[in-house]
Amino acid sequence: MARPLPPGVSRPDFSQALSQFASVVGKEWVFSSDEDVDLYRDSYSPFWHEDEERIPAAAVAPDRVEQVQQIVRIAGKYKIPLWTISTGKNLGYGGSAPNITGSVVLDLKRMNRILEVNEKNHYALVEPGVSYFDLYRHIQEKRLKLWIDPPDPGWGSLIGNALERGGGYTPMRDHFDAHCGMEVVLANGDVVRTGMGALPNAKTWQQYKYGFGPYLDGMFSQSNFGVVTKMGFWLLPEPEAYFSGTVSVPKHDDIHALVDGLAHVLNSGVVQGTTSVLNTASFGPPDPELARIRVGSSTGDLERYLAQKGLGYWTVDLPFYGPAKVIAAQWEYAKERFAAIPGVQFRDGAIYRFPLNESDLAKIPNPVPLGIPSLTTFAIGGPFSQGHMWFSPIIPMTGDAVIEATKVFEQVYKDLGNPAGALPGLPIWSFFARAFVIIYFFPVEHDIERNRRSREIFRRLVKVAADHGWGEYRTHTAFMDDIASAYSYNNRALWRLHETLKDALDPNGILAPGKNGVWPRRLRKANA
Amino acid sequence: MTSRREFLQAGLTGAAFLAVPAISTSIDSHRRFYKAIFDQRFPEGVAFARDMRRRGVPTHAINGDVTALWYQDLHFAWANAPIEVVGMTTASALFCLETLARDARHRVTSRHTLDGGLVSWTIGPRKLTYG
Repeated sequence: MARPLPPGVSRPDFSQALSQFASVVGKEWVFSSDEDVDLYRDSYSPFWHEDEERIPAAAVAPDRVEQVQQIVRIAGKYKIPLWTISTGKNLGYGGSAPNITGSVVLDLKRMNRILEVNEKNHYALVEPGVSYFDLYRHIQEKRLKLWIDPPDPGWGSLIGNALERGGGYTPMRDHFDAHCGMEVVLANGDVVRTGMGALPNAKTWQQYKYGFGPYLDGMFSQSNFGVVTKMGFWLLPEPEAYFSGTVSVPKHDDIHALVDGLAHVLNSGVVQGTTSVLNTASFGPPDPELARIRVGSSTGDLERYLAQKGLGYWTVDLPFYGPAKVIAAQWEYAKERFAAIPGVQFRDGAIYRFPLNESDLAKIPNPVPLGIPSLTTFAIGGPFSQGHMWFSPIIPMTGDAVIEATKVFEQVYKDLGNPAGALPGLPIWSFFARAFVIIYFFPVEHDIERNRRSREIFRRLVKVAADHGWGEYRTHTAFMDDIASAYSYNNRALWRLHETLKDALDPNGILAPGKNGVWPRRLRKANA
Repeated sequence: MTSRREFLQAGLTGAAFLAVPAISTSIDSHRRFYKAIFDQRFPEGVAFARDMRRRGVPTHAINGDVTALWYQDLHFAWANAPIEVVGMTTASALFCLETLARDARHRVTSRHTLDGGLVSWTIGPRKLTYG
């Protein structure tokens, strides 16, 4: 069976383009057979077995910037859409599959050089194919006193994750914010370096973000305005110690004081890592009796049951990084902020001093908050697991917002039914400063009807969230247009600005058309 | 086919080999596997490993998590030369290894889902096709 073609491109033209790609990268790095190109399918596609699944036409894997420049020029000549991936691990958000069928995947995995790691000034400069595991290994082998901040799992690309504005767990947890300087290939093949990188022979490209004049880095995140080929990252100097303390409160309504205290300790820098506010009834230790009474019981009944078990209604773990005596004082201060909540309990977690030796490391159940990449997250759960996608709205960091979001989203589930296999409860995280992000797990299965149902519920959640002023921070390719259309202030003014930029930077519309709802002019009417 | 629950109720030693032949007999005796990976949380996995060791294949136990196996072993093994690996694990563990293998120009060359959800599989070098 012939593979799909890029929209509007004839087969002879496509063959010519593939030949020209091959003359740039070598024919062994152009993939057009089913066996090879199927490897770029989204392993977690919510359209598995359906015609709507977005399938690439081919893939091309350059190994240097000059090749990327030539590839985009060839793609521009034939108007072939390119879908750029770094290591292709954007699972839950589309993986390595394109947004439109017939795209050519621009696979940057071979561009995997660690260009510089500076221990004195605590930064690294890397190419897109460098994974968290790669940089961690490099730092360990060189015995550098530096930490990375991996997401969970850690097999993704630093550049890919940061450009999608992903998050981790340590004080460098906002990955886009932790970047400093980038190099970008534009659709016309031009190469731009941002920030101080625009100064030839710059000495501070990875130390001072802003350079001079307009600061454009943000426009290359979650976008299709250019292909990022290098990026600098600030790294955490290895701390002396790590400690985690747990705060738990007994009543449902204590959420207000708990979150107020949390906002204070986060926003004043006392706590600098990612925290999550957990509802014990949904996320506490396994308890069949609790699972039974959780549904349909009153809040008072749940509070009494949890109190009998010595458990709080809400808990939050506070992570501390730094010199041991400083984090001890920070924990004492944090406890003072929460002390006025009647019945509040505090529990000290383990303290770790660095560097860890092998036997200490082996005892740590979850090493990711310690800057150690892992794949352990895949081991959680039963033997059946076909994938998932994430619904991830941003809500204010207030108790009112937590209660309202819980009520609103649970009503959607009541009205439409839970997605099959979805986890109960609202997991609330502080990956990013000043706001909470909810990360809802949506299972994906190789079952057409179940996936259709999940998509319907997802779309309803998107609309309901927008009605309440909660926008998503990131999403699967399946829902990019839905979410983009929610950001409609002043007659879609922001998206109209995106389109103006897109038309100027990519008039042939070849770079990831439709990514996050930004369509090139030639495809806009049919899709936007 | 014996379900996993029946397997567990029947006890480990005697019944263990009921599940194994479906995988082991399909493996040619002359194939050289770099390693056999097994999830030691499951009796079927343990029995599979015992059978592999009897065939002279080095084994590696996991508890569902492939991080150390890949980071300390397969990452280098796959980079050094094309190799074949055989295993009996959960689908999630296989998914991880399959994804990582892909980056190292290897692929899943056989897969068989057992009752209870474990998967027996082999991973080997990708046949490269040009053009």
